[in-house]
Amino acid sequence: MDYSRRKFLAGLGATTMFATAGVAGTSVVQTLVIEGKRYAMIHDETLCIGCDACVDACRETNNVPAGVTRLEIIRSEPRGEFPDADYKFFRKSCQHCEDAPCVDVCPTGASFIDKKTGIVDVNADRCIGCMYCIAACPYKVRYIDPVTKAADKCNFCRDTNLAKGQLPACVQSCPQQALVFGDLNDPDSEIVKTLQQKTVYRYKKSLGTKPKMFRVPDLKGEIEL
Amino acid sequence: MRILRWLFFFILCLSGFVNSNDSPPEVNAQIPDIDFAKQVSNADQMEQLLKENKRCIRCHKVARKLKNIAAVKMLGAHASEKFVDNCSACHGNKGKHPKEDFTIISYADNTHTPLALQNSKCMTCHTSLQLRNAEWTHDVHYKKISCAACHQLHEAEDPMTNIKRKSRITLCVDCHIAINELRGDQ
Repeated sequence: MDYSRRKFLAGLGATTMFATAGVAGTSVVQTLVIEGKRYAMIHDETLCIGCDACVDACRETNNVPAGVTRLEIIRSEPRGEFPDADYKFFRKSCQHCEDAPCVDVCPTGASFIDKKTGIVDVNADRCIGCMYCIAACPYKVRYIDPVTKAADKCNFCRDTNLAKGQLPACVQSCPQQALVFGDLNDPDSEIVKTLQQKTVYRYKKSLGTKPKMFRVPDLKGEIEL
Repeated sequence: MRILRWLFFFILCLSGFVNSNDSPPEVNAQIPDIDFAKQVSNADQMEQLLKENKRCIRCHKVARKLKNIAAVKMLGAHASEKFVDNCSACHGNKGKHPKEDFTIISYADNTHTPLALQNSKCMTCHTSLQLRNAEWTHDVHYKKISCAACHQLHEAEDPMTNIKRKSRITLCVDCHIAINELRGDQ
C-alpha cells in the first residue's frame, strides 16, 4: 500500500477532525478507505448492439427527467460499406473513480464516495449547484438535474435497485448481457471472473483517477487477426 | 384573366380544406405515381404490367376460403392506382403460380424466396444511403433478415414509420433475446 504525502496529510486532517468534533462525513474522510464492497462494471463493446434499452431502463428506474441522462450509448460512424457496415458503441456514464476529481473539488461534501460500496454518489440536499464537479469530471457525465437543481449522475442505482437487492437497471435490461456488475473485492464474483478472462481497457486511465468502468474493446476493423 | 386566377386560388383553398378534414390522411396521395415509372420504359411494357397486375387481383381481391388465403389489399406508400396495385413490381410476374408457387417472389423470414433476392428487390428503388439515413440499423441487418421481418408494405402505414422509441427498443430487445436463446440451445 502506497502512502503519499497527500494521503498522509488528508489522514492527519481526518484524525484531527475525529478527535475534535467526532464528525465523519466530509468528502476528504470518505475518499480515504473503502471498506467492504468495491462495485465496478464491465461494458462489453463486442456484445453491445446499441439498442438503448439500458438508457431507457435507467431513466425509468431513477426518475431521470427528460433532457438530461445518466447514461448514453454513443454510436460511432459506420465502419465499412453497406451492406457490411457496422458500428461501435461506447457507454458514457459515471466511471466511479477511486480517486474521483468530482469529489475532490466539491466544496460542500455533496459529492462523495460511499464507503460501503465504493460508489461515487451525490447528496442532493448538500449540493449548492456550483458545477465545480461538472467542470472537474474528465468523463463529462455530470449534469444539473432540472428538478432538484442539484448535480446528478449514475450511482449504479445505489438508492433504487441496489437498495432492493437487485442489479442496476441497465444491467437488468441488457438483452445481450453486455453489462457485468459486481464487487471487485469478491474473488468469486462474475465481474472478477470476467476480468480474468477478457481483455479490458479503461477510458482515460492515464489521468490516474482509477476509474471502475471496464470495457471490452471492439477491435473489429482496427486490428485484423 | 384576374377572375380566373382568383377562381383557381379559391379552388386550391377549397381542396386544401377538404383534404385537411379527411382522417386518416391517405398515404398514397403523398407519393406520386411517377416513383414507379422506372418499371416500364414503353407503352407495351405498361400494357403487359397492367395485364399481370389484373391477373393477381382477379383471384386475390376476395378471400380464398378453401385454401385459407385472406383477401389481399394494397394500401400505403407502395400502392399505385396508375399501375393497378403494382403487385408485379415486387412480387414478379405470375408465371406458373399458383400451380408452382415458387414462381412468385414472396416476402417473409421463412419462405421459398431467398433472403438476398427479397432484399435486393427493395434495393431496386431504395438506395443504401437512404436506408442508412433513415435508420442506422439497416446497415447491420440487411444481410441477416428480410426487410419484411420489420416492414409491412400492404398496410396503410408501415409499422416502422413513426415507430415510438419504446416500441423500437422492445423490437430490438425481443428479437435479440430470441436469437441468443436459440444460440444457447445449439
